[in-house]
Amino acid sequence: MNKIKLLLVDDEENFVNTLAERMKMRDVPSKVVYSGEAALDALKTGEPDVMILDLRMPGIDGMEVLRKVRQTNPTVRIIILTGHGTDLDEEEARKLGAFHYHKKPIDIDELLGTVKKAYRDRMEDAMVVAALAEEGDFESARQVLDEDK
Amino acid sequence: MDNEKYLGRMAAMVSHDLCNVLATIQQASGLMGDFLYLARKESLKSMGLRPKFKYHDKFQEIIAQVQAQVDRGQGICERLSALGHSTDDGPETADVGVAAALVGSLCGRAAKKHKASLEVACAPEPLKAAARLIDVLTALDTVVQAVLPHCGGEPRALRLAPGRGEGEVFIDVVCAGMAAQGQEALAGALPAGKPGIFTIGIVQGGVRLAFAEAGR
Repeated sequence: MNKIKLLLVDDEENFVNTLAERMKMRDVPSKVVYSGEAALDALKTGEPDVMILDLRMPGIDGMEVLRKVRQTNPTVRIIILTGHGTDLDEEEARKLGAFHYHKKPIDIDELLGTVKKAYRDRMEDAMVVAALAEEGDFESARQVLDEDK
Repeated sequence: MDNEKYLGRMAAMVSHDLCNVLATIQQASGLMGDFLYLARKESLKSMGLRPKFKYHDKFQEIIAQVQAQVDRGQGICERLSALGHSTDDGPETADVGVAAALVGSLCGRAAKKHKASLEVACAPEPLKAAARLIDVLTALDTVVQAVLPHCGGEPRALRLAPGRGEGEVFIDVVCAGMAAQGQEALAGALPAGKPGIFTIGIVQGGVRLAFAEAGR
């Protein structure tokens, strides 16, 4: 599973660095950024498969990052991981297209399970699109891509 | 901004910070556990040439204690968050089953002070009151505090039982071991209801707190 390109976005530096270290020990290395702005910048240099995103951050908050990434990079799977989990936040995040919504604190293996599921989901879509395009069925391929939006 | 909303907002913010602190402690102690596991694996792989960490078991025990306290803290954090958000602007309805569960967990310490335990019966279905959650919570807390000193029997157990009646939803706050004398004293000490929001009445062994059912 060390092929997963994982981006961690959280302004709690101690937390996110420790999380990254533990993910690496489980063969899932990641890139870490500490703000919404840095997350959007990171997407310009390379698209991750999965993003773990905090909601409450100074500057551009997680919900805004989610909204923007869903427009610019709709195939990136975004997992919300927040300490400020209201039902309304969860509802909004899911409406905006978050792959999953977790509340802090969370067990590392549960989170890792969600990351792997998100990666598989993205890969399955990519394989379907590739197969359809190979058969020349570009319209169906486009539909699969649009479903991600 | 009124006091209620201010306190609600502060409680929600504190719960957010608390969750972040707990998450960091949980990951840090988890990382210690990961290193402990690695050290043990290396020791086993070296066929005993690299000795086992002397305090391995003790460390594992300490990590488990930390994780257990994180779980406990997470429960507190979630209840604090629910309490904080109960003052949010939103629908003027509240589920009395949810409110009973929340008050049941928040009042555990108050019950212990009276050497009583608090149990909450599961609501069989959503029971929507035409009242804000904060109003249901404060009314229920007032009733629990009024009933607790009169709760008798051995062991002392106070039960919060949500239910539905004719055009109303209610929470019965009852103590199976309440004596007739206690019931009389309780009747004299009951707080008044709030016209248009809730009524308070005596039932066998305790009190019924009733609200008009939403949508009726």
